[in-house]
Amino acid sequence: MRTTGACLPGSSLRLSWHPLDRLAREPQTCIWEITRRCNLQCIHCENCCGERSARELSAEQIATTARALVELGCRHLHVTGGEPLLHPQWEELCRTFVRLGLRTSLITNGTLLDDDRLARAQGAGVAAVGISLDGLEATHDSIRLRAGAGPSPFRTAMAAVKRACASLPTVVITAVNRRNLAELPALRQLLADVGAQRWQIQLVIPVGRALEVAEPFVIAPAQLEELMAFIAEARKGGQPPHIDTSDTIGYFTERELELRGPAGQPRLWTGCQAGIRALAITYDGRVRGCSIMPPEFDAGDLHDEPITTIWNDAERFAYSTRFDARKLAGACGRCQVGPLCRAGCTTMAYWTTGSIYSNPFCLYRIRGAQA
Amino acid sequence: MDSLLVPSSIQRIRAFLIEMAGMKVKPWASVDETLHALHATLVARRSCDIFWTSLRTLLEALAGDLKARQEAQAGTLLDNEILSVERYLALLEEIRACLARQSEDAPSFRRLAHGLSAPALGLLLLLGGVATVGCESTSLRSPGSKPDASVTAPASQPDAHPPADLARERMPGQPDATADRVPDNNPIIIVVPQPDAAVAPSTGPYDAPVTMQEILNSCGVASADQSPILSCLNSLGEAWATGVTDYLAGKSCDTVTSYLSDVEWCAQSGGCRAMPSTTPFNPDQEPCAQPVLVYLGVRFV
Repeated sequence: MRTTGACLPGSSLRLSWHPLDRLAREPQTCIWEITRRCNLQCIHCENCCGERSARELSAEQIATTARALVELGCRHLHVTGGEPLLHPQWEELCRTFVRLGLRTSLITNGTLLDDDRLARAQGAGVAAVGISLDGLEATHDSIRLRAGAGPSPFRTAMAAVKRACASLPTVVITAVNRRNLAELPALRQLLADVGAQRWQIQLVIPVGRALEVAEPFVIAPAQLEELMAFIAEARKGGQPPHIDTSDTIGYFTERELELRGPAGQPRLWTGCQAGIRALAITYDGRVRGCSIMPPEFDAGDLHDEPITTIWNDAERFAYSTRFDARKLAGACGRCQVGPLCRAGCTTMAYWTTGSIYSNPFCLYRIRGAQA
Repeated sequence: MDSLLVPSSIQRIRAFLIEMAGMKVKPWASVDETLHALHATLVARRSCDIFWTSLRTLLEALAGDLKARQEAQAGTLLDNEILSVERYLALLEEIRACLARQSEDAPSFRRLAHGLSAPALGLLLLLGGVATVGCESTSLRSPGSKPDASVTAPASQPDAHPPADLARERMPGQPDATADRVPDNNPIIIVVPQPDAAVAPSTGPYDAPVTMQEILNSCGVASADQSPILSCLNSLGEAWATGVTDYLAGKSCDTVTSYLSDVEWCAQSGGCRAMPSTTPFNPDQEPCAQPVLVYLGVRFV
């Protein structure tokens, strides 16, 4: 079907198709929050995690859903939470996922990833580990709060990074905010020193507890210039850790190609793939295109329907599957590459403006406003 | 609360609609559809006192947000407001007008209702729209958005049937809702303008065949864009050039520009190729040899 698509550079006409319209719809990547339970109370947590939810899926429900996910085409599964290592059956679940053929990774705050758990994760077949690190020690510990007394979350997380890097592919994940933006170069050096190979950088989205922080916490869009310059320069050198730029960062400046893709394989941002290639399952069994999307984006509930029914109804993911570029609004509605970009990260756009059709976190847009 | 973030008008309106009408505006609803849902609610809930109190609160919040934006130093607030200042002000005026009208209308309606017998009052309610009286949630749909279903209301509630005078009100920038009103339970219409059509194919034996140039002109394609399109079509060969022209003659301009944008894409990416003369034109076949992404003069395969 022909739909309104991308604007051609320098032309008054628009492409009748969009690159995402030609992708086979398949949930290749799934992020799965297996519990809401968490031993930290991070000030930017989108789910306000802490206590276990009474609606969490049983191990049997999880296994059944995982089997169906594989049949739908899922290949990569990111197990997260809450803190996934606090799920009493995390190891068994990971083993099940791996047995089904899913490349399974664990995303953890690192505070519980000791030698024993790391060995158990490896034994279960976990292919990679993601560990959150939100700045240098004082900053990280001011963001990732421990509920009670205990060692510094930063120190335990750094120890976990060192430990994991020695045995498994490890990705450090940093949610950039005003407190840690200036620390990124020092953090990069620190990660290089401990042998980290991969570093995912994303923006804190104004959602959940991040809305309750007393001082300005989410970075100002104008600070994207500094962030993108850092990422582009760091990637250029080719030295580890290799930076994976998240979908929240961009879009379409002259450095766009320096931001995305594996080393040597630059990729152009062509819109959010939530609900097209990506899927998320929340700690209480709701299904969305992306884990940070608000409840309005719920496509279904695994307590009520199987994942196959939910996924196969593309209409439930209409924000991606039937994206209508004619609805782009505000500055994105006037932007030449808006129909190709689709207002960047859908979740960021929606949380900040109330509409998926306009996104203030766009450097191209900011530069346009400043010009 | 992050001091950088002043809620946008659409965020305020979405929250208001959920709170007051249980109306979940789908995340993929456009700005116009969201405003239209607000408008529909203004119509349907006009006799609910709680609603008007909340509407006043919404008005104050919107006015406060605007003031905060205007008083903030440049660059200190997140630029997350989608509506233009003019449209924002018009929205405030619209709500103020509704509130003013309500304070005038409500007593007269109550006086009228008080003076009627029970059967007469029942008939009045039936004719005037049961759902406009009281504070029940009402189901309001935007037929223009079907099957988009951008607005979802509680399924168990009856459809609203607002009075004709209020149904004629428009949000700023909205098309006149009465223009295409249908006589059923869906009084809120989002008018989608019909695209103009390209010049029609010739039918009479003495008519000259329609040319691509005429099609392009009739659809207002800029002359700068015409040249690469015509050049590309010519390079595709006579069968395709004629086939494309015949295919597009009489089609809507949306269809024309949609198809020709593919052709221009081919031209820009150097992908126009000569089709074998025996290859018949196929509207579903790409005219490009190999689509490539082109961005700021750089090519990616």
